[in-house]
Amino acid sequence: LESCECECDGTSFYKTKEECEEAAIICLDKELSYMPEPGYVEYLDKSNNLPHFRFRAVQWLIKSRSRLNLSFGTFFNAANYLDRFISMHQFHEWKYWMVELVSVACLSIASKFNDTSSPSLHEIQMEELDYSFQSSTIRRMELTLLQSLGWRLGCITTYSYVELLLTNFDSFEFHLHNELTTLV
Amino acid sequence: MKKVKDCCYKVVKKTNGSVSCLNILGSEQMEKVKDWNYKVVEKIGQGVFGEVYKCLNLETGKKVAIKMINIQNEPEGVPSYLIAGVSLLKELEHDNIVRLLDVLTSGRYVYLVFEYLDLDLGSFIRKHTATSIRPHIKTILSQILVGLAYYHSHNILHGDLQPSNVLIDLKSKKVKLADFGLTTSFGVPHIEYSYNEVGSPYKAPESRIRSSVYSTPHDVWAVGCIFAEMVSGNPLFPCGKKDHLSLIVRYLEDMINNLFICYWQDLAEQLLGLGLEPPGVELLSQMLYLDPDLRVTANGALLHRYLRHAEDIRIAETVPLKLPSSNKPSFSQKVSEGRF
Repeated sequence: LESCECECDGTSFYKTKEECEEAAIICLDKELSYMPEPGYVEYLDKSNNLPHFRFRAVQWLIKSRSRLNLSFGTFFNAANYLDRFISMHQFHEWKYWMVELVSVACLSIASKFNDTSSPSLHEIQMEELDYSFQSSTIRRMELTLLQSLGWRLGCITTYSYVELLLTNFDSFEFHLHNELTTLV
Repeated sequence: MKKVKDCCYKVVKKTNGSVSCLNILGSEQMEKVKDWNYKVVEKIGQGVFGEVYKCLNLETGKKVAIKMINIQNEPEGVPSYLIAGVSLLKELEHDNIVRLLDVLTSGRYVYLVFEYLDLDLGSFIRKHTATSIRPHIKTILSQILVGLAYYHSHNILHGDLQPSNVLIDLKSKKVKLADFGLTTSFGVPHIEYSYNEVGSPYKAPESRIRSSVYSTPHDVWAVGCIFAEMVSGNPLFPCGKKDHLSLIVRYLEDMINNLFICYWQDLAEQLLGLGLEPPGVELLSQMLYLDPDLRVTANGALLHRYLRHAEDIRIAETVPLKLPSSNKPSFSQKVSEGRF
């Protein structure tokens, strides 16, 4: 929740313990609707190259996030889009260039959705890619990806929970302290 | 008539010999919607981000508004305002907000399919007299506020509230908010409201002093203006003739307050004379509070005694839903930068 930090100047966003718990429940609830299609893990296990392709793509996403100085949320969102998209096209004969093109589109979209300013398509492709794609190709891929994801981009990822815990650390500590003192 | 053709107009000769002109600009791309079972009825608006057409869903027979956005000349792929905007719209679901029904893409075009209602509050006000509109004011006002509270609970600013963006369904007695950036110029006569130099007459004074400041009190101010307009039948701060506020806000804040108090007293008397109940005047004064920090919130306004007996108040639906994902700094920043 960088948002909370921004808007509340670093103080905790959720004022009460109940509010915080409620937020966590909503997160758990919403998370399910942003999962890859069923049978995704089995599909990855069965296919020869895809786990390797995916590993490389995720690695590229991690490196690009730090190179382009994007938020962590952007990386987690991009990885979520990548998994969801691949899981929707399970009968596809995946080639590495395809996975690479999808990852470029995923990072571009995640950044445009998440970050205040996003890198250009040229900057995104600057390092560690086997292939280079034209802007028009990436734009078409972006549209296909958005359509496949139903334009549902505000996904709940592992990082959402980390953020939830981190930004509310102060109030957690406060509540914990309170509860402990009442016990004593 | 030849000249007309050059300007992308098609000359249509009717059977009775009369000649009419049809704007065919953009219609070629709109042909595509036929594939999705929509029939184009007419073009109803042209916004910064694209054209809006009134269409008919041939399967359900329902009217929709389709906004067509060309992304051909975007060097950086799908623009971020579209990505952030559409994904947010997708998450919104409320009775008092126009629904984004579908997002379709074809080639370099994105088509946003919105729910459509024929009547807007601007026309509704013009059709009524001060007495005939009175029984509707509370219901309309409370529904606008419920819709707005829902936006605000999702950290979304409407940004362009005005009577033409408030749509009315007479049958179901529902009021729905349209627009907010993506749906700019939602097929309604904007003529009397679009004064680019001075901004919309529904803009809060603080936005005229520091144009970058943009937040929720801004929207409440606009609702206050709409409220007064329903009572009096005329825009509260008409831009055309004499823009009271633009003049006023140039001076120091003390001056503003003094002048505004005088202005406010006149206005309050006037509205009371028009039959607005004293609690209504009180609520209006809270909505038009000059200091945005002290201005009433949409939820606060809903709890005001003036609206206590209004129908269709569903405050329960507007319980703030504080979610990490619906709470983006980037988005609000984009809004304040005018990118959305």
